[in-house]
Amino acid sequence: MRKVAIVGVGTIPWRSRYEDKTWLELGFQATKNALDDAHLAKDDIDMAIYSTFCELMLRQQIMCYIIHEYLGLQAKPSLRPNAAGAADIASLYTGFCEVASGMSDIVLVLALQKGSDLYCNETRSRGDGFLRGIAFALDTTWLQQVVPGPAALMTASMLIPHMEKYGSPTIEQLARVSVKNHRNALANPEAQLKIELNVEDVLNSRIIAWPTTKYQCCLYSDSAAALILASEEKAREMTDKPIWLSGIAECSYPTMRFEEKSLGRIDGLEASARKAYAMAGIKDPVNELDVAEVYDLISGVEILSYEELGFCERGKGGKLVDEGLVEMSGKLPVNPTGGRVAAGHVGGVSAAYSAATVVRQLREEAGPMQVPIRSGKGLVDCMDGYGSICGVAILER
Amino acid sequence: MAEMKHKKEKFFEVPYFYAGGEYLYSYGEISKFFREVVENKRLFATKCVRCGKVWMPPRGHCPDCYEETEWVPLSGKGTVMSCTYCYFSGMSGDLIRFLDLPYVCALIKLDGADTYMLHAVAPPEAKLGVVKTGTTVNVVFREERTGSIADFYFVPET
Amino acid sequence: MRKVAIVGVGTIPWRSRYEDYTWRALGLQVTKKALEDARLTVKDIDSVVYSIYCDLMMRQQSPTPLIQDYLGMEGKPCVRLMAGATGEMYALYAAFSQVASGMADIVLLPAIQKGQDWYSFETRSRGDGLLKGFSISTNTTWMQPVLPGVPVYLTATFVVPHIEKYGTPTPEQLGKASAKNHRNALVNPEAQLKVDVSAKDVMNSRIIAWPTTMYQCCLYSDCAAALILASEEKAREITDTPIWISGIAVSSFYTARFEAAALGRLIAVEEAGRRAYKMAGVKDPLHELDVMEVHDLVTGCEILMYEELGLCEPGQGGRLVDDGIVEKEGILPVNPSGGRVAAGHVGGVSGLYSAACVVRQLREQAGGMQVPIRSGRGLVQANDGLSGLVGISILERR
Repeated sequence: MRKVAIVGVGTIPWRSRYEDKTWLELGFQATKNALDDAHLAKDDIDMAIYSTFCELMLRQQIMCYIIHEYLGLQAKPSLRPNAAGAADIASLYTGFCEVASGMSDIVLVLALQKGSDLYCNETRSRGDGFLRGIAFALDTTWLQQVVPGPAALMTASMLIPHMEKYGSPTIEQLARVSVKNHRNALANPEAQLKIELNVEDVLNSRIIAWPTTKYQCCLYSDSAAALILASEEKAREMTDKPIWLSGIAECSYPTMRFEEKSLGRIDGLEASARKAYAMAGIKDPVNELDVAEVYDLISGVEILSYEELGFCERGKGGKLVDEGLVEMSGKLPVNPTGGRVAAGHVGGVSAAYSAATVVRQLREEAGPMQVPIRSGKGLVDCMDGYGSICGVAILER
Repeated sequence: MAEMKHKKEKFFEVPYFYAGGEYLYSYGEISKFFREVVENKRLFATKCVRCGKVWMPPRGHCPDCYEETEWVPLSGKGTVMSCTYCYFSGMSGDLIRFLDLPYVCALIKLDGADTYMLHAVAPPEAKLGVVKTGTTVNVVFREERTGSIADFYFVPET
Repeated sequence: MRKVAIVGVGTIPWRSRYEDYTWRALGLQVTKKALEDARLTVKDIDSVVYSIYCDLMMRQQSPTPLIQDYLGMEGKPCVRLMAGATGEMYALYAAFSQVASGMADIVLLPAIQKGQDWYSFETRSRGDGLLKGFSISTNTTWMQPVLPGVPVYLTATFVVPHIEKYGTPTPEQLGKASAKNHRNALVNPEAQLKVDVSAKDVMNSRIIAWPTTMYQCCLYSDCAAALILASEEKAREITDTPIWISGIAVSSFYTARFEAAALGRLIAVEEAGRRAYKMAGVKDPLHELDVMEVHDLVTGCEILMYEELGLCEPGQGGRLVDDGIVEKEGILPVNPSGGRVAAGHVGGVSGLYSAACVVRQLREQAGGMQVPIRSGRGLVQANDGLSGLVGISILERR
């Protein structure tokens, strides 16, 4: 298995709506930025991998060949992995295999998604149109009619059982995580939402699905992010600071079988973390990682993720928040970009964006968001809104 | 090896309408094309500022140079580069149903553009061969235009 | 790069509609068959790569997590490759990569698609519903409003310009090639359409878009198929007849920029073919391959493909039909299963079905469809409805 490095990253600001650009342009911009970052031309790319959670939102079934041609990559191979909202980590995984196997030397991984063209004529709202669109990803036979959206599902199947079992996280701890991320976003020039909040603001915001309130829920955005992967040989030619993908795993867990053992758990995340750590040789994540970008689709999920990712024992995630371990000043800063509640979120793109920001962190090019780099290792995780597909990637300098 | 059993009992089927499929779609950087079609009955293409290639359908950046493009107006006249007489209207939209069958599905090189556009030509009669490669065509705009390529079609020049 | 073999195949009959099974049940059936064929169990699978072309048609966005545990595969990585109606070849490519890189040793590759749950309330027809559903696969801004269907596009962009340049394929040659495939399907127990049509019947059938007639167009079906891939080490433990994937390539060449150079040419087929041949060390396909299964979405494209795949010079494809070279008794039988016009077709599945057929041919388990196996190599090709996405694989028995 050849080693695989990330040699270029390209991101664009998160916006709730890019009405002045079609999805093709968003992808183009991110790609151009990544090529510039890597000092490459588009003809250097051997193969492209496209990550999109939901092509219907683009109003285009089969988007891959259109963006491929738009980027001037005619006739070259391309793949488009689809794994619900975890398409980005699945794309990174697929890109890894492509380079590790020797099939290609330089691979573009481009994640893009626009959700804002959807519209609900009944309520005259884009937001409602978007929510209806994502709801279509729920099991249309068994779940869609009774679940209004991912926040409710995650709260019910993950957060509440966990709280009942361990008495944690507490309401306050949930709010603190949200406050942390909103504060972090103030230093992120690409973040969609920049407001200073305190614990009361978070707790008093509109209740979505108790105890999850509005400021604890992820944003909805249009965006794109691109990464350029290269084989070891090529990477060493191209840059002094290749960032290695030393561990990657992706894993799928039941959404149709709600059983006792799955309540309060994000099984797929634990399994992926275990495999990724083994691949990267990590035994003690809290002390070996410098930074982590963890999916806070709801703040409760971020806290549960600390446990699944092995940062602490089960039931002790809330304590990490109280101890400040995950703050910018703490031992293992989590979500220096502001995470999904403040930087921005759209399925299929966020983890690619997270990977790009962790690359910048490890290169020490993260500007005001920079955290101290000691061991030179960072983590990116990813899960879809229904907790069914999860993935973890370890990046290393 | 177990074979699939085909059940004899009656299955249950339900009507269902396409959910998540309503849009208020924004054309972003190619908005001008559709605005010109709806408001001014004109066709526009985009030209790369570096290599000068004129792209039709239009696009925001040149895929060869990665440079920006600028808008160029077209006369609406063009040449058929390939076509087929089509006897089948399908369900894809109202333009085909508006034109009588057979209509001609053609690749048209509009004057001033370097790449061809897939579109529909309304032949003057049902006889094969009147519209063919090399035929000159002109654009015709429909009365009601909503911002789609179905707002216009082509007819051979007489 | 590790070597990769196909160690198990599972297929079910092509039917225009499987009203008695949901998509998950179809997936389970073929998975079961593939596991039985390979004599493996669910536990042996390391990773699953799905090919599902159009989730909308199955009224379910993001179907993969919803079938992963139905198949008992929870906890394993799962990825679904989408590449229009040729997603299956891209899925094969991705699965190959996973094994070749060492990330997985045994990969299950299920392909599932149902199209017939779509319905047009306006015309009260499932067929029309399906066509409407397909139409959003074409570029919704620049093509969908003027394109009623795939046969029209393929004819206008590829077949007609080719005829204008070379004078072939003639209507007779198109008739003969279509008749060949229909005749081949008569001995395929899984084929959807079993009619013995002559070249004349084909030419006289209803005209769709000149010169393409109804019998020259692919069918519309519901179906599923599954393959199991394994690394060399595992393959040799599992079976005495591993069928090696000695060449595989994909190419995306979308003719959004219609130019003279692209008319009448299936450039993505040529590109993918070249890469796959190079990888497999094939120099003279006409004499080095024993069998080919290619996508005849319209018969004209099959004939163009002979040229793009290097079986003959450009413009000579029709001659291969006239000389009987591609018949079942010829030097290089093409589509002994009946192809897309007679066996059956649905995007996302057909290519894997073709691969399963070629595997059985090379194992000499193809029953009535068996062709002579001399060099032990076969080719599988699939493309999407716009012939912009192509996947080709060379399979080999050694």
